[in-house]
Amino acid sequence: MQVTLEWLKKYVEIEESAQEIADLLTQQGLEVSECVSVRPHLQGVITSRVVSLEPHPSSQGLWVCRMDTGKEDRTVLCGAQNVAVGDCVPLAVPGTAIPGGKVIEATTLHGVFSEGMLCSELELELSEDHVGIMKLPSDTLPGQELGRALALEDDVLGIEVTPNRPDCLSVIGVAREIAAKKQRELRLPKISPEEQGPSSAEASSVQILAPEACPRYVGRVLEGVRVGLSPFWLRRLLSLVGLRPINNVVDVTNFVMLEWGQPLHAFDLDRLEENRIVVRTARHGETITTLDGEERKLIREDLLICDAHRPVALAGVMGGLESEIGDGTTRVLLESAFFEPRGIRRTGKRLGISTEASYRFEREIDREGCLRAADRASEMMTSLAGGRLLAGALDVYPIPYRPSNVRMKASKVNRLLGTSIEKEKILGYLTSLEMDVRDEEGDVFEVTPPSFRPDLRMEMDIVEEVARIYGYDAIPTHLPEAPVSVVLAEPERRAEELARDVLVGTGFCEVVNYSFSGPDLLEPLGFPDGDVRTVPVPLQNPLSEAQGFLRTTLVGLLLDTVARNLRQRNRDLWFFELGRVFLPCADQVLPEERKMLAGVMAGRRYTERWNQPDAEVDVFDLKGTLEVLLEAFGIRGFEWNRSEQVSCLHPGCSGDILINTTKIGYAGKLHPSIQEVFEIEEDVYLFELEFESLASRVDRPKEYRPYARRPPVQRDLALVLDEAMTYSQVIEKMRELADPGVTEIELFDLYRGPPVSEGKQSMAFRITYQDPSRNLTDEEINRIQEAFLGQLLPGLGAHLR
Amino acid sequence: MREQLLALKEEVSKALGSASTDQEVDQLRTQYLGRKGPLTKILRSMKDLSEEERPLLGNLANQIKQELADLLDGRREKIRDEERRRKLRQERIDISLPGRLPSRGGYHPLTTVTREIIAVFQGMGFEVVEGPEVELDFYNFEALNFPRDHPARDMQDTFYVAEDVLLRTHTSNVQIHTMKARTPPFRVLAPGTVYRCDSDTTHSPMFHQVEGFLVDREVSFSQLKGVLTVFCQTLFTPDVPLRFRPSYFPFTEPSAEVDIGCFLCRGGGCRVCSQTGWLEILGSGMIHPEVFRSVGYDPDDYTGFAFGVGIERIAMLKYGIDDIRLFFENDQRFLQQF
Repeated sequence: MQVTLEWLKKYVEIEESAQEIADLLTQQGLEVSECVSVRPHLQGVITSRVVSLEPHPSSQGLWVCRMDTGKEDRTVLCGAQNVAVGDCVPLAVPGTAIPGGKVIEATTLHGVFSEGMLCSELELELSEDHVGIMKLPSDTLPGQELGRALALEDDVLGIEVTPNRPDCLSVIGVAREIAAKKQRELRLPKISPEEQGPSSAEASSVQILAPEACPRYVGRVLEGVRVGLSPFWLRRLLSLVGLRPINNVVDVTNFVMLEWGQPLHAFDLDRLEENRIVVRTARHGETITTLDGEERKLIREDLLICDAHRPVALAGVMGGLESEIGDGTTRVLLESAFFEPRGIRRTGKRLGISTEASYRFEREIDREGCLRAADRASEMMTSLAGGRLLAGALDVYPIPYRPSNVRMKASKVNRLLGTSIEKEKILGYLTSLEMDVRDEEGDVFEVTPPSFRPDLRMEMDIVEEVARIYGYDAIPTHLPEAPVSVVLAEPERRAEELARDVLVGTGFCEVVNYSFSGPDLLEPLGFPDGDVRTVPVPLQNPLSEAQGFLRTTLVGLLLDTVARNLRQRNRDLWFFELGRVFLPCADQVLPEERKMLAGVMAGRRYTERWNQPDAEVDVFDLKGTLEVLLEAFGIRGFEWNRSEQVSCLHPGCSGDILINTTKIGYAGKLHPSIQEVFEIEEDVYLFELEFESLASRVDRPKEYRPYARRPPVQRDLALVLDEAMTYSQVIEKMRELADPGVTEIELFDLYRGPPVSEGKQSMAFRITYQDPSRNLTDEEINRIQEAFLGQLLPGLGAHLR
Repeated sequence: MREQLLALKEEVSKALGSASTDQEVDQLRTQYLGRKGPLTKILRSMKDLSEEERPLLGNLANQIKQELADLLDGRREKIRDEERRRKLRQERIDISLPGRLPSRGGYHPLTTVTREIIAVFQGMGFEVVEGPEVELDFYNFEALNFPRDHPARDMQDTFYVAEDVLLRTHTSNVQIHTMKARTPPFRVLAPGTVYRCDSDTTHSPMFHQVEGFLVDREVSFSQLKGVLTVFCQTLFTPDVPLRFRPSYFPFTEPSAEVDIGCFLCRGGGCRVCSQTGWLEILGSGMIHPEVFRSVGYDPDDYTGFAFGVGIERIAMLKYGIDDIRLFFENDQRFLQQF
């Protein structure tokens, strides 16, 4: 909603600056988002009057005008044809730079000396009108600065009116807020339209067939109207607040809508069949062509304004093309109605139309104000467009407004706000907002809100009004009293923090991707048919196909993140995300939201440096990361089992992650063909885990285990084994056979090739012996090791190297 | 013998003068003070002296022995000292060279800001609760006093999954879930992801909020001001200017928008604060009686307040980020800055 400061001043005294008013309104809940000063640069343009007018002696079409400029007369040449003796017009004197940059100079043209230029509205950038020289009101004194004479200086305030305040979608509504806060008088325009001639009822009639949808319809009839250009001030005002001037009849309806918040519509009465109005709901499949030229298909819910036979307007939303006011219109039926807000909103939403009118109707206008607005517009129309207003309004009002009463207590107001405002003051605030307040005994009072405030229905609504006028800043600041309680982070949150801390500490950057995904990011991952991840939850109104459904895995988006970073020439990408995926559940309306933790690694192990090896990440960096991560949650030794299930991964270098035989995710090297799909030209390692399986372990109890203080003894052992033997097979056997004195077995070398024979491999282990209570002797260890080897070597089919 | 001793001392100090390594000093030590050295020989011959001479010369011999040892020690110390200094001189390196770094990780700025916000409210006794992102119309709108076909719904453009199933447009749905499941008093904080069909430099179709609410008996608007004042002062600066102004949210009444004084222009007006000198930080208000009714609470028994903070908004202000899409582009050069 845009208003101008000068317009507001017509209804309330304002001595403050535009910025001060903007701040005041913002503090009242009418947020002023924009405050634009309008100061046309018209220095040198003055008012003048045509004293005499003669055709140029030699140049046809040019006029030699004698202009009264207040002090002396000047001669000015003029090419426009709309100037007559006695007209008041703007004159740019020599030396003036008119808007657009042109500088007017005194010059001799075709033998006549011309001292200035008469200007059109377009030349002064005051409107789009360029038909001829601008005409000023006939009582304008010559010789004044034009800007001052026309009061062109103004300030436009852009106000964000919240949906609960339809009353403030009007200049008077905004002025009322200023008056209430400043305790000043609100001066409403006096409305006393002069009626002439026969009764309206003889010229037209109004019938409401759908009273629930249209509880009130006021019609006023005008005859002998001359449709034409509105006066400059009206066109200028409408333009300033963002409305396009059309003609004097339509401009008046718009002016009154902005002034009072009541949308009006003007019909050409002679284009209504049988000159009458019927308000009814639409028939299914019925159509209407609206003012914008669109043919609208209607359903039974839509409300129509019809004449005797066909629809002439989509009620409250947009007028019909056929009954529009035109240049030839002489008889006008002015509509000022109240339509049920929800119906207007449903129709507007369905058809995708939002107009100044529908915007107000769907927020609920003042049902009691319909007649007043019609009268105001009628009075202005007869004054600006001539004609006469027929006697009596056609006011059909089947469902009258029922005011609400709210009984309340001053003490309750103060308890809710934490204030101690006297009852008298509270009543004063409410009265200033035009509420009908009845003081009762003690603490109690009763309030009847005005009809233009549909947002005031219950006690809390009134409390808010008290707070607004009292001022939020004046309300004291207290902390709630409560017993001291210690709030620790919840286990789930601690688990999240831990996972993030570990991964960030290990060198990963956390990413946040959209929850939306698309087929391009899901299908290449090749989850098996029947996997729940292949049937994501689609959005009904996605922004694009690529964001068409909710993600079922974090991996596709992470790979896309990697690809995007590589395109930007970023290297050494270690990323992780902790976020939800959405898995459809059979027979459930809502999908399951599962938290996942996924990571990717690509590039080098270290940031590139002058003194660091240029080592590419490999699968054991991935595994090491998982080991560190899982160990932080108390999981030592997880299983990584080869699996054909994860088709997005390299089959020889990937597998499922299991904890105690429960699968919690997968990890490995990205499949080369998927690498290609995502246009990633380097190896990528990734994992995706169900976060719940980690989170549930964050609170595991920790218990100290004493460690041996005796010195450890280490023995190295190189085993030559069959090539097919895996590390985990070997280590499992070793652990099974190891003496209790063995505290650690560590693989420190893995070797294939000569002198180890073909088909064999050598694994070198360092075995640590330690006894908690005493020092072990060499002999003891030799004995233990011999016994150990005696079982181990045949068990593995190995021999010592 | 006396002369012998003094000559010995003279000889040693001369020999030491040309010794330049630890080993040479050790060699001299063995040579002069060793079992086969001249001093030992002299000491051995002591027994041949007279009773009167023996203690005198014995003292002298011991004194000389001590002096020789000190000489040798001193020399060795000097040599070692020089050696250390030489080493220190040699080991001088260009310390302006870059250090050896592990891969540089970083928290997403939204995580950091969320953590900070949670920390402040935990200090005021709030506990963290989460809620679903795919939600029923009832929890996201209806129960929060957004009636169907009400213009208030225009304030939040909604993604739909099915009829009456949507992506939550705010974290306020957690209010309804929590209130239905518990009995007051409680203080709850609900961080989470929310969605609106909107996309430009200041709007993202997905963003993050932290919802907070407190329900008890006799909760007042002035307490809302108290809690949010502490929050802003802790998250920003203790002297940050604050402004509470009326606003409208269907699920609170009275509603308040909270602004902080623009810390970039200090109130003078700049691009970031759109020349107003103020920055909108959060929305808040007393929980609407209709909300209490929809979860079966009697609004005469309970009152409470609620507030919602946009995480991206705070992060953009804190770090001077001018495009909301940067959060979701996940460019490494962005991520490694936090």
